[in-house]
Formats: sequence, C-alpha cells, structure tokens
Amino acid sequence: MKKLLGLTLGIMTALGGFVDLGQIVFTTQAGALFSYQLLWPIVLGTVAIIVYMEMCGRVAVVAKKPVFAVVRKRLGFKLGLATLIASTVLNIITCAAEIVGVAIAIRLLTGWPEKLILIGSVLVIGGLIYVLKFQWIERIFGLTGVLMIILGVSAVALHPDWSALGRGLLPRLPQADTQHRLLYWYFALGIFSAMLMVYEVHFYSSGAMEEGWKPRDLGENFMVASLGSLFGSALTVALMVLGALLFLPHRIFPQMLSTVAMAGTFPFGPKALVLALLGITACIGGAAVETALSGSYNVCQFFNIAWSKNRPAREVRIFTIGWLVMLGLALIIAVSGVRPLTLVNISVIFGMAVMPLTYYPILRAAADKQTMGTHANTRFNTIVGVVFLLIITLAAVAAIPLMILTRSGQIE
Amino acid sequence: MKSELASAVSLASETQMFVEQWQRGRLTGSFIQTHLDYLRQEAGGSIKELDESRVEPSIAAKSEICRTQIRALHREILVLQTDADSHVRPLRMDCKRIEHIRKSLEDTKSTP
Repeated sequence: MKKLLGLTLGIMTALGGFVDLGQIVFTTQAGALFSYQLLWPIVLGTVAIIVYMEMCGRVAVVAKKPVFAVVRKRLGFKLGLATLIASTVLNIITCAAEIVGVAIAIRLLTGWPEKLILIGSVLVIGGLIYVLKFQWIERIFGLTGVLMIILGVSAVALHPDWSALGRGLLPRLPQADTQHRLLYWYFALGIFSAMLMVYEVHFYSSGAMEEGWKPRDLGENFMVASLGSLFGSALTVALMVLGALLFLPHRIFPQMLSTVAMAGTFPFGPKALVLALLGITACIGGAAVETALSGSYNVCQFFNIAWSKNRPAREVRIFTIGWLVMLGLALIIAVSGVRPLTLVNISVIFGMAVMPLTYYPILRAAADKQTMGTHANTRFNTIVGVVFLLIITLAAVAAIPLMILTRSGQIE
Repeated sequence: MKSELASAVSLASETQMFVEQWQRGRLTGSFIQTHLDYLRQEAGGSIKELDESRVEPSIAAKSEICRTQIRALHREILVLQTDADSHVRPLRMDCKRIEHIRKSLEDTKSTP
C-alpha cells in the first residue's frame, strides 16, 4: 500500500506538469487543428520526461543533490543564477495562470464570483501547503487528479479512429500552406515543451529527497517516474482525441477551459461534468502547488539554505517565506486580469529557453561516475539523454521565432 | 480579417454545441451560467476588436457581415443568460438562430 501511495509523487508531478491549464487547452487546440497528427510530440515528450525525471530522482537520492544544487555546481554561479532567476520568473507566471485556472474550474462548479474564488483558492492552497506534510500534499492532489480519467473514458466512448491515431505517432508535415505548417510546428513544440516544463524536475527531485528515498528505492524511482508520466500522457492523448473528434469537424478553436471541460464529458451527464471539474481543479491546483514550492526549493537549494516541507515552518523560515511570496506574487498577477492563456503561452514558449540550462546539468551529474559511483548513467542512458538534450536545444532555438511568426498560434 | 472570421465561426459553432448539450440536460446550472458569461465576454471582445480594427475597402463588406453576425450572437447569448437565470432550457428556435449566424459567418469566410 505504501509503495502504491508512493506513486502519487509521480502522478502529481506528471499531472501538474502534463495536464495543467496550458496543456489542457493547448493539446485540445492541437487536436482541433491537426486531428491526431501531433500525437508524436506527446510520445516524444513522455519518453524525454521519464528519462530526465528518473535521472534527477537518481541524482537526488544517490548524490543528495537536488536540481538547483546541481545547476550551480555544473553551470557555475553566474550562469546558474541567471537560470535560477529565469526559472523563478517562469514559475511565478505559471503559478498565476494555474491559480486563474483553479478559479475558473471552481466557478464552473459553484457559480461563485471569480475574484472571490481567486483569493479563496490562494488561501486554501497556501493553507494546505502550510499544514500538510509533503506526502499528504502529493496524495491529495495526485489522487484527486485521477478523476480526470473521465476525459479518457469520454474520448474512448466517442469511438476514435484507432488506426488514424496510430498514424499520428509518426511525424508527417501537413499538406498545406506555409502558415499552416508553421502552426503545426508551433503546436508540436508547445506540446513537447509543456510536457518538459522544468518545474516538474525541480519538484520531483525535491520530492524524492522529501520522501527520504535511499539508493535501494531506485527501482521505485523509475516506476514512479514512468507510471506517473504514462498516466499524464494518456490523459494528454485523450484531450487531443476530444479536440479532433468534437472540435475539428465544427471548426471550433477552443480558447476556454470551460469549453474543454464540456468536451471532456460530452457523452455523459452532469455528474460526470462535476467529477471532471473536480479532477481539473486538482490537476491545475497541483500545478500551482508545484510551481510555488519549486520556486522556493530552487532558491534554497541554489544558496544552500535549509529547506523541507516536512520540517516545522520556524525551522525553515526562508523556505516558507519563499513559497508564500511565490503564491502572493502569482495572486497579484492573477487578479490583474491578464488572460490566463497569454500567461500560459509565455511560460510554455519562454520555458523552452531555460530547458537546456536545466537538463544539461542533470545529464552531466547523472553521468558522473565520481559522484554517482555504480548508479551513474549507463552508456545507453547517456546516449538517450544526449539525443533528447539536442532535441530540447533545437526546440529552444525555434520557440520564440515560431511564436512571433504564428502570432502565438493564431488561426486563420 | 481571416483570423477574425475564423474566431467568429469558432465562437458561433461553440455556442451552438453548448446550447445543444444544455438542451440534452448534460450540464449543471453553475456551468451553464458561468460558461455563458465567458461566451458573452468572448463575443464582446470580438465586437470591440472588430470596431477598433482598420478595414481595407476591399474587405469592408465582409467585415460588416462579420460585425453584424457577432453582434447578433452576442444578443442571443444575452437571451440565453436570461433563460439560464430563470432555469429555463433553450428552445429549438434558439439553436436555429445560432446555427443561422454560424452558417452566415462560414459563408462569408469561404467567399474569396
């Protein structure tokens, strides 16, 4: 049972990363524009995040070094600090978008005023983080997020074309004009990037240390990283299927979370809708928790300040103030009225630029035989890691030009 | 203009799908009221964008049709909000009117 509950770290990390506000709308939009043609970035992203989650978990367990301690050691103070600042800004922006997403989901459930829910949600999220130990945070958000499975059931109930779905596993350029092709790459890159958002590895590696994993738990590390990511990935595919089956034939380009929630329970009644909205609230809320905690974990780990969610707040004052500040700043952005999808676009595309600076140090640390001893990467691990790092770097270079050329994925 | 028309078609089509789901009794009261509010905001935003955009004479007619239809959609959504507040399900007529708006926008989009 304990091992089963241990999976919740992987599930919460992956759901918070894969099925956050950005990915929910982004993937459905991709399905609405390109049917199943963009299934391959989901598969590519899933394998990449499993590889790197496993690596950062292994480094955290064996070398007792979480991600930002590794970043500082491998990149040096100046470049490491630049990475820390960029990651923190992205975490705040993402956290703000997720808080708005939580408020929208709760409003759809209750009909209460959105501004009131925004403030209430931040207070509840802050209260939960303050009161609960790390394991309970991941269990509550991870297990409630499983309710999102209703989207998968809905997608299957709508009878997708399985062979067309299979063909989507191979990259194929659409037969269309340049603008449409650019959109294709913009969405491919956005999906891939959203699956590899760096806060997932920050949170996962810190979580492995919070849970006190030992080298003998490394098998569990691989299982948690893989199963959690595969579950998140299956839900992402379901979102794409819903976009392809419900929106593409009607020329709908979904721009709102409520539209996706409606599609998520299309063949079913109001009870399914309530379950889906609860699942969405948990997943997006989980992402808000991940980003707020990651922001504080990163700063403390970079400057070697005491951190742990499992220690009393008075013992880790700076860490506690850190995540409170993250939540506070995110709330200020959220109430300012910026559209959450604008925030998500910024975080997904600019997040791409930070990725090589986070994943490269992880790869170096995991391959270092001096630090990792017998737990260092095998040659195969390193080759796979290098291949994904090259893809991530290429994507990072292409991200901003694509965003400009497609005007952030606007349809015509 | 292409982009505005595509957004307008999408919004009208989405509103139609939503109303059909509502008619089938598949949505909750809070969801209906909140989603209607978002749809109204989207339609309002589109009207504002169209009003503020500079239109070349060659596409002035298209732009005018788009504006008229989005305004009509906005009005329909307001009517639907009144229905939702009174817990009344939309009629087939409401759906027909929205369908008509969508078709008109699609025709405008497909004309060269």
